[in-house]
Amino acid sequence: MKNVLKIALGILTSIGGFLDAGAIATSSEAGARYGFRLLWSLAFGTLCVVFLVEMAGRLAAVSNHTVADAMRERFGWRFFVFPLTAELIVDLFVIASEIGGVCLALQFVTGIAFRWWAFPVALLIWLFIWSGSFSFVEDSTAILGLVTIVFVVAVVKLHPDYHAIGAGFIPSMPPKDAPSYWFLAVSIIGAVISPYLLYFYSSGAVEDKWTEKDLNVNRGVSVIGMGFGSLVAMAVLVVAAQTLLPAGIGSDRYEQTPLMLSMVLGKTGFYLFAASVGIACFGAAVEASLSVAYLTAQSFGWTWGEDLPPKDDARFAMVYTVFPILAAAVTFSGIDPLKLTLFSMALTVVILPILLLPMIVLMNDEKFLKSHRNGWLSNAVGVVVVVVAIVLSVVAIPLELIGG
Amino acid sequence: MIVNLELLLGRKVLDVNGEKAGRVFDVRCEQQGKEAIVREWVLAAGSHRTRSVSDVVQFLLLQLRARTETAKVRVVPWDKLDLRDPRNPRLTCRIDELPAE
Amino acid sequence: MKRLQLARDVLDQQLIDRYECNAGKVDGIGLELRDGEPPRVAFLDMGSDVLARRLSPRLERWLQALRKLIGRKTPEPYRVEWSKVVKIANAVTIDIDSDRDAPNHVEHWLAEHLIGRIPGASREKKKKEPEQHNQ
Repeated sequence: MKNVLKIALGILTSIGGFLDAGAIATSSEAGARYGFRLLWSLAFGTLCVVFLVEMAGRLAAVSNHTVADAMRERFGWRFFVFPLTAELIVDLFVIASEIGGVCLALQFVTGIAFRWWAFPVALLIWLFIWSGSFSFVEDSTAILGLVTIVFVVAVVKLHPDYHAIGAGFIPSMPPKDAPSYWFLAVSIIGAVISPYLLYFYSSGAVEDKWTEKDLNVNRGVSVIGMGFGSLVAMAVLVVAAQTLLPAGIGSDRYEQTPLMLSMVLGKTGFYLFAASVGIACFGAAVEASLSVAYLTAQSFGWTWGEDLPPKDDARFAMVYTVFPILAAAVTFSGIDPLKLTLFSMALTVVILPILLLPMIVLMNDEKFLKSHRNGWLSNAVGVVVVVVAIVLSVVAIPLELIGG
Repeated sequence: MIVNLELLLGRKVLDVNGEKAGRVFDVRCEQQGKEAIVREWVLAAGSHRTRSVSDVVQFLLLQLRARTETAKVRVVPWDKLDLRDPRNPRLTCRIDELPAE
Repeated sequence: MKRLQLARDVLDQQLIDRYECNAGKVDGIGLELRDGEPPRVAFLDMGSDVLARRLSPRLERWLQALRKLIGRKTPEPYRVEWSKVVKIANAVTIDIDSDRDAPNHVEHWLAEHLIGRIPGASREKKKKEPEQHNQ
């Protein structure tokens, strides 16, 4: 019974972690431009993230090490510094995008330009982490995140052609504009596989003192939780394909994105869209900021713990105080939040190999995983993600740079 | 004289004839009471350098193999490695004089 | 007699002090060469200089130049004698009090001057039990 409760909570958490600025932006753009054609990319990304999150949780439960701890210990500082730096840079842009998402939602509702919201939002993020405990952060972002189910409701109301949706799961060549199509496919995968999620999840598992007994919970959370988050992202894509595409609105202009819900649900839809984007991005910004603090503290062996009073882990608290401010400065600079989001998602894909290859080596190490090492399936999926990430980033990103 | 292990790792080791014997990979010690005494130096073929993509891949492969005990390592008794110049460690014997593992 | 492999078992491990508080990582290990006797492990090194040196000597020089620029002395790396090592398992346990004599001066400075001055810094965060009612 206790396990069921744990899984339920974990699933809620995953919605918060899964659905963020990147997932919403890339899914809606994919739907608006290519109909259901890019659903395969969402599905592929989901499959990968399910395996990766399961690995991160298993590592934490069996070895009592977070991903960052284990990576430094196993590969040494001279190697670890590369994934560490790459991840910190990407996280800065990811948090800036998430803050941008919250700011946009506020702009929709208030009419005040998004950049003026950047620092107030950063302050709110900080306040949330500063005063809340781990389970408070986890549960509140999760429960508020339930509002995003509105996208699933919209899909049901739209009566889409479910056969056509099914066909979208099979990769196909684009009708036009191949470079942008592939670039968008890359960005979707980058949006779904957020590496900060792995650091956050494994730190949470250590904070919650998981043991080998929690391995089933871990499996349940990663499969059902990530699957559920992905369902909402797919709903966003389908709604965009059903509303924005026929109306000839590309979602590359963010002012028009709320139309996808207001066309279905009227004025309420407009507000629900703003609320969904705002809350999903806020939750993701909180988790990503906390994840940066975890990563830094664990890399250098500082005291860390979201349940400790900030004074007892001052350096840890310093990181989650400074990082959102830095990210807010990026948002405040006035870069188009949508472009910033797509850029940080593509950047994520570029760094995936250097983050995931060591993780796969780690997951085969008896010292950490004991008898719970990766099976052939997990290894195969891990290697496939890395290969796909390399191919996509080598092929798609230069294409977009030339084309765009 | 003090040698920093963290700087020694990955250094190329030549034997007494100038032939390449491998790179410093690890150090085996024995804990006796409050002291830890170095018994053997472990050399392996892969490098600890991380300056290019192929370096990184090689490093990871070495790490993977080293744990499954399929990596080719050379074990050097403590007194067979000359560390007076820690940047250029040298064996005091020929490679084929090393005891077989 | 316990066998140890230094790079695998000790270097880059988490350090824990006698009160089970995190005290940094094993950033470096000093080996003492002795005439006619096998080398022995002398100490563990900690600190940003040690980490910088591991990446490149140039980086270490830059770090020291930067320190000089802001008018701070270059501290010696913090050293723990090997005899203070109590246990090597999931982490390396050392018999020191990291609050008093560890390289945690940045932590203390922050806690005193910055983080500690923000309201709510020393408030206990309540931990919710999983058994509690959840919607």
